[in-house]
Amino acid sequence: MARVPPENIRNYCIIAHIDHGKSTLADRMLELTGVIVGGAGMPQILDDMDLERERGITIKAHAITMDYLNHDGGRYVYNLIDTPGHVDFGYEVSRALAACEGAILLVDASQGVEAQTIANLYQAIEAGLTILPVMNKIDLPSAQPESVKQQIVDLIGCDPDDIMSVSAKAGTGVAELLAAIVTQIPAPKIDIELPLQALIFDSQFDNYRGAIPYVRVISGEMKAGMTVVFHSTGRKYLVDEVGLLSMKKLPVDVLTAGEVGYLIPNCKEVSETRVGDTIGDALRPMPNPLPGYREPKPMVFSGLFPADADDYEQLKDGLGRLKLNDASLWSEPETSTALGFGFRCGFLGLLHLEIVQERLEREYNLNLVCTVPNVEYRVTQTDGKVILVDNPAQLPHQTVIESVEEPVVAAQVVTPPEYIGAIMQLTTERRGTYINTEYLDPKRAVLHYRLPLAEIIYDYYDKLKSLSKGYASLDYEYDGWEVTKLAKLDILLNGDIVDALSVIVTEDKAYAWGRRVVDKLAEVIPRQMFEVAIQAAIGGRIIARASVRQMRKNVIAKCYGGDISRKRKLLEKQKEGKKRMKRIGQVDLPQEAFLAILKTD
Amino acid sequence: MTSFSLYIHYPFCIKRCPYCGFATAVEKEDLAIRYREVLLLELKRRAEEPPWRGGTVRTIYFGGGTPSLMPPEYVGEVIDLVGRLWKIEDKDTPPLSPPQAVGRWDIEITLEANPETRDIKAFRGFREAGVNRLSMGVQSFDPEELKLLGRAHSAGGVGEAVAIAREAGFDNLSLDLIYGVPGQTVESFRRSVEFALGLGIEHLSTYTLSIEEGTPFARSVKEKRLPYPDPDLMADQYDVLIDLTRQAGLDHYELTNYGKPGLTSRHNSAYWQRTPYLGVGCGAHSFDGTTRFWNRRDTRQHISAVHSGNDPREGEESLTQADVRQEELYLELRQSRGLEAGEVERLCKPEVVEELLASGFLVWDDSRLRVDERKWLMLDEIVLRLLK
Ligand SMILES: Nc1nc2c(ncn2[C@@H]2O[C@H](COP(=O)(O)OP(=O)(O)O)[C@@H](O)[C@H]2O)c(=O)[nH]1
Ligand code: SF4
Repeated sequence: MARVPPENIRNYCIIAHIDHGKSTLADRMLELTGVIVGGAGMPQILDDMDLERERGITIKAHAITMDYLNHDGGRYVYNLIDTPGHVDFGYEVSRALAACEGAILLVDASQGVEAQTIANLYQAIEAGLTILPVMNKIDLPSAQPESVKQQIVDLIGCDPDDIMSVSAKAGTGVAELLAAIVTQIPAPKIDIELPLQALIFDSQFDNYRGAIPYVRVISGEMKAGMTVVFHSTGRKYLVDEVGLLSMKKLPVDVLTAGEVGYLIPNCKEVSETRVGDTIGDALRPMPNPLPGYREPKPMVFSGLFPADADDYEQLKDGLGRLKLNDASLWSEPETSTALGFGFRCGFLGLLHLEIVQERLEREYNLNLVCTVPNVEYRVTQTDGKVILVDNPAQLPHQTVIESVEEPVVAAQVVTPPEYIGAIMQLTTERRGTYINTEYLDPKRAVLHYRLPLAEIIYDYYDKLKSLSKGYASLDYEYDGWEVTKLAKLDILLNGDIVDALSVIVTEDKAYAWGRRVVDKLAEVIPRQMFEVAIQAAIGGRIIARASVRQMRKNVIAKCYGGDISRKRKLLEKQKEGKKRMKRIGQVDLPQEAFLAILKTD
Repeated sequence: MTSFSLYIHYPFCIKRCPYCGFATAVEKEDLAIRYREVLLLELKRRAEEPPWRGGTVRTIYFGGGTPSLMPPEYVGEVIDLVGRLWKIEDKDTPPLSPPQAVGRWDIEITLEANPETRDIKAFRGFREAGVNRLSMGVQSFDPEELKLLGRAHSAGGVGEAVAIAREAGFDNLSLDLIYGVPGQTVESFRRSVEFALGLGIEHLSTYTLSIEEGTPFARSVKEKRLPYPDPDLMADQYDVLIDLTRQAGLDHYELTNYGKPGLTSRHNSAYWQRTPYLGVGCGAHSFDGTTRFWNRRDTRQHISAVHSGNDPREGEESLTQADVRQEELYLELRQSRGLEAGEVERLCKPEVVEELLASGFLVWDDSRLRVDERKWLMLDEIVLRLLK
């Protein structure tokens, strides 16, 4: 891999909505620059976790370096920095953007601009990035290049002729795009004389080598053998190795200002190499860190318990390992009377939660019970003390609560105008405060709302998608606290509170909520040996009840010579089914019971 | 192999019942003739093989299908052959009921029969051939239910069949009844049970309708033309069964079987007591005490396998120790005799035994642990919880 002077380096990312073709375009670029050999069926390089592929999202930013030979013979180095494509990972996106000078704005010519694109675009513009607008999938018969072009023009105020058209799939226009990167995206502006400053935009974990931060060197240089200091923690590390992010990690002597690469700082925990942190030279520290750093801040909390109590150690181990790789995953041991030993975990969002849950179940062969997710509440007590509550079970008694605040977000919904009415109704129901509506073009509006985060983590997004036939899209960012009247709703099974089913809800919705949860539970709890009485209560007062009748028959009433093997297999199957349930007192509770509470109708 | 039970499968029926999931085929005379030849061949082969070679036959059971479609002479030929191939348990003791007995041996020899005209004519012949127990597939005495089940007989026909069987010398008769039939009520089922018991039979087998994949019933249920059998209705019907059979003096000796004292089905008990059995004919299962085997289900494939000298078996499974424990627990608890204390300790979780005793699902009866008769339909759930 060639090393080039900083003026021949281009650092950029691709901003695109899910499925608009970012991975495909990245693959084409890598092929044309010879990083990978092209051909059908080649994997998409930038998403390298199974789960990411399945969900069509990039969970964590990655980066890759390629050589580019310009037609006039100039050698360039391109660093393509990937950005995660889901609202849960907004902060990670902002750090990836901060490592770039330019962004390709990629819009599907058949779909047009979506909320996520807009949100990320605004972030990129704020970060001072040069935007290179590109329309993808022009090969599709359903492409509407003219109207989509107009949307882009309205969005960034460019000249329609500056919008490039490509088909990432067929490769059309990709060579031209690569050439345009040289002329359109600025080279990094650097000062080699200044002391070292490097921005961590991602962090990986290697079983042998520990945490491996991916960095953009902003100023100065970084070498193996030097001692660096991480600004947020003040910790110092001896650098073992620095290198470039080619297809494989490629060690080099030095990374200089403008370059993108990795370092191996001999650090055992990813939690010490935090995205957004600034790395400096321990001998010549810079007084101020790079702007924009934020402590990893989980937004959604849930209890994770092994369905089988014997698997606790396995869960502990699995979570420990995932945390090595994921600084935004938080956990601490939790004990529930109903579910036994487990962990209270914090996530960036529901999707993050689902991914963690799935990875634990799949990679560590666990059956998990996840309690109803909730946000964190800020409680001011009558004695003036302020506490943060991330678990309904810990909400202080009503008599000692002065006030409760919940986190709110600034949300933007992009939608075709015909769904505005329905979306407004939904969002108002979900306690949203309307701010304004902007039109991107006659066919696309952006609704701005201030909305409690708690409303979004339930089924707001699903609802939004279904009432707009999939057309509306959502993005949000954290926007402070707001005082709310809240109540703790308990669920009782056969008279005992199941702590793991308690939720915090707004007072005015508590009744309706309790009724729905009780009915839903009566639906998903299978009939069993004993009748199950289900009740919802607020502060000891029962507000709704239902029951599941006793099961009276569970046998195949015929068992002769040929039936015995079949019988045994049936029992095995039932046993498997039971394993996926949690026994609470006399009641077998299916995992869906916990989910059922989420889906409110 | 010291002794075993022998099952002989005859897959043919006049027509196929819409709920039936057995290995059956509509009778075609030439195919049936070939099948009957092949059965004799299979018996001879098995008699030369370990572990059956040199064994003693404890019971014989002709099941189906509709074995009452076999010519009585042929049934006699089979029984004769069995007597030549193996030792017969208690061969020399006198037959069950000397006055009418025309049969040769004391061992239980059962044949499943349909109470239809064509079949009942042959009853005397079956008795002469050595069959000493008939199991009649009555299913119901309600005309509507019989129609839905696709059965050709009538309630009156069953009475006639029983009379003819008695005349022919059968002093051990069993009837089959089915419940959980769509449209059936607790009352209509009660009438069927009363009718059956009123005929003075020695034994009653009952079963709940189960929807077998690939049957017309399964299709109707899927298309919602028939309701799925209602488990609560079945539980109510089960209560009725318990009451009426007790009044009639039958022992509820197995979850779904009732017999006069001493006249329980010895053949079927072999299944529940995990003693060896040999099955011949298509789809028949065998168990040698450790391994289970089964023949191909398809009649033609079975015929051609045996014909060409191949083993008609298509599968076998060896049981792990955990499998064996599960089977033992499951099968023992199907029987009223239940488990003795040592077995309870070996197979069951003690805290669950206590819990289920306290809630009335289990009872100690004569220092054996059994399922409460009224809770027997919950057996699967009980076993799943109990098993260590
Ligand atoms: N017809 C057509 N399909 C494309 C094009 N680019 C990507 N796709 C398809 O669009 C889908 C989403 O692409 P992908 O690169 O995974 O999107 P990402 O979620 O933005 O990374 C895939 O099925 C691609 O094959 C294109 O230029 N034309
Ligand atoms: S008579 Fe019995 S074996 Fe034959 S089709 Fe009917 S139910 Fe099935």
